[in-house]
Amino acid sequence: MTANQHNEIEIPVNQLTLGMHVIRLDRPWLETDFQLQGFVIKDPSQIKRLAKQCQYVVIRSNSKSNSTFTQTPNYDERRIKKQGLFARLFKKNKPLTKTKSVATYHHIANAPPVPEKRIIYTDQIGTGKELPTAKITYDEAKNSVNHLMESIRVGRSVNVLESSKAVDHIVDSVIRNQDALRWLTKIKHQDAYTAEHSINVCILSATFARFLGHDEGEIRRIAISGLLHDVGKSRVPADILNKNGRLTVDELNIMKEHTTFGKDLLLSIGHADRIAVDVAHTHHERLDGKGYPRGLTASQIPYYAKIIALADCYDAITSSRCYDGARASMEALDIIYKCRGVQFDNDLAIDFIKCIGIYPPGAIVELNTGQVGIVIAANINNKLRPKVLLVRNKDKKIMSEKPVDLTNSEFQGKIKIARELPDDSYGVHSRDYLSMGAIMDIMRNQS
Amino acid sequence: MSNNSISEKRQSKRYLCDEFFTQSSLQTPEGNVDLTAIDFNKEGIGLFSNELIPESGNVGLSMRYENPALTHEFCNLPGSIVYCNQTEVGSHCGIRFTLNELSQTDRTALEKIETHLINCDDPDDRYHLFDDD
Repeated sequence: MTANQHNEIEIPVNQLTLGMHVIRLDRPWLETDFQLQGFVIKDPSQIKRLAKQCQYVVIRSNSKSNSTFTQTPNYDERRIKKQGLFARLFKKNKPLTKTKSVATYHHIANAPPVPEKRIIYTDQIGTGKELPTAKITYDEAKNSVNHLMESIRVGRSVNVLESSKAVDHIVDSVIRNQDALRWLTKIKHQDAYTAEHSINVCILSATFARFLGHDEGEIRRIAISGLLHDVGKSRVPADILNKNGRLTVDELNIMKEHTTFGKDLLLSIGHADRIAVDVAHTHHERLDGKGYPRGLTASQIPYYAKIIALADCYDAITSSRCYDGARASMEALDIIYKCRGVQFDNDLAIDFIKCIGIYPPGAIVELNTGQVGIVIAANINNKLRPKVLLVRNKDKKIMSEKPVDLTNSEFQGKIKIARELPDDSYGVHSRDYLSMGAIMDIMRNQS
Repeated sequence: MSNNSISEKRQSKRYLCDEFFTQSSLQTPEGNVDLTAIDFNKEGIGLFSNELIPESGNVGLSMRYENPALTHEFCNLPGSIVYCNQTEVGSHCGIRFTLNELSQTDRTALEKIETHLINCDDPDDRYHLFDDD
C-alpha cells in the first residue's frame, strides 16, 4: 500500500458525493449527532446532516471521485506559496459562509513519502557558514513568537506576518543546512522556555520532515504547525505557565487545556489551515488512547501531530525548565524509543532517532580518555565518530580548546566517545562556547 | 563560562531496558502510577509515565521481567525517588533501590538482569538502528 493510497483530503461538505469515506470532521465527532466516528456516505441525507454541522470534512483519498480535489491550485494555495501559510490569518474576522469555505484543499498526508517519491536533500552550505544567518533567524523567530504570544495574552490584534517570515527563514535555513539551526536548539534559557520551545519544535520538525523526504511545501506546513503547536499556552495563567516549582494536579490539568485553547484560538483568529489547528489540538494525544484532550487512538491522530509530538517530547525532555534540570539528548531518545508504539508512532519514532543521531551537534560528551568536549559536527560516514571540541582534560579541568575529528586514523580504535552527558556537566555549557564564538570560528574554518 | 566542577549525579551507567520489562507500576504515597521502564542497572531504574510522579520520597516498584532465560516478578521493591523531571509530555524519574532492604532473591534477579543488559548493550548502536545504513 502506498502513501498515496493512505492520503487524506480535506473537502467542503457541499462537494461530497455518495461513496466517499469520511474519516474526520472540522469539529469533534462527539459534538455532532453522528454515532460512528467515520463512515462511507451511502445516502444524500447523510450529506445534508453533515452540512448542518460542519463546513468541511476529511475523506480518504482512495474513496470515490476525490481526484478533482487533489492538486487543483486555487487562490489560497497561490497566496500561501507567495506569503506562507500565515497568509490565511489576514482573513481575520471574515465571516465564514457555507458557500465559500476557507478550508485548504491541499493533500493531507498520513505517512512519509514512499521511497520513490522521497526527496533526498544535501546541504548546500557548510554549518559554519550557515550559523551566523541561523543565529539571526533564530533571534528574529524568538522576537516574533514572543510578540505573537503577548498580543494574544493582552487581547491585541494578532499580526502574524513576522512569524510567517520567521518560519520561511527557518525552513530556508534547514533546507540549506540541516545542522546550523539544530545547533541553536541546544542553547536554552530557563526564562524563555515557551518561546524557545515553540521555535525549537518548529526547527526540529522541519529538520525531521526534511529527513523523511517531504517536499518543501510540506516541510513549511509541518514547520508552521510546530511553531503554533503551543499557541494555546498564551491563555494559560502566567503564574502556572511560569511557576517556579512543580505543578499540582489541578495546575497540570489547567496546563493541559492549552491544546483546546490553541485550537479555539487559531479558529477564532481565522486561521483556516486545518493542519495547524489539528496539531495544536492533538499533539498530546497518544497511540494507546491515554493522551489528552480527547483520548484519541492511533488511527484518529493526524500524521502531522505524530511528527510534532516527537519534536515536542524531545525538546521538552532536553530543556531545562524553571523547576527542573535538562536531560541529555540520549535520555530523550531512550524515552522516545521505549515509548514507541504506545505513546509515539513506532516507525516515526525510529526515523526520528535516526534523524537526531546518537551524538547531535551541541551534545556534551565524555571520551574514553576521560576528556570532555562538545560535538561540533557529525561525520556523515560515521555517526559514532563526530568532530568534537575538547574543553576539559582527563581530570575534568579546563584545557585549551582543541577540535578533534574522531574519524582521523590516529584516533581509530583508541579514542572514542564513552557517553553523552547532560548540558552543564563539569561546568561545560554549549551556549557559553557558542556565544563566545569559539564554535563558530572553528566550524567556519572547517566549512 | 562556568568552571565549577559539578559532575553527574548518577553513580553508575544504566542500560537501555529491553522489551522484557513489563507491568511496571510505582506505589507512591499519592497512589499507584503506571510507567514504562527506560533504563536500568542493579542499583536503580529510570522510568517514564504520563501521570504525575512525586518529586521525592520512598516508593515501592512492582514489575515483571520475563525472557527465555529469566522470569522474575518484583513486588513492591523498596526504593526512593532520586529525581523527577516533570514536563507536559510526561514525568521522567529515577529510582534508587534500597539495597539493604531487598531480599536475596530480588537482589540476585536484579544482578542477572543487569548482566543480561550489559551483554546486549551495543555502545556503537544503542538502538540497533544503523546496521543497514
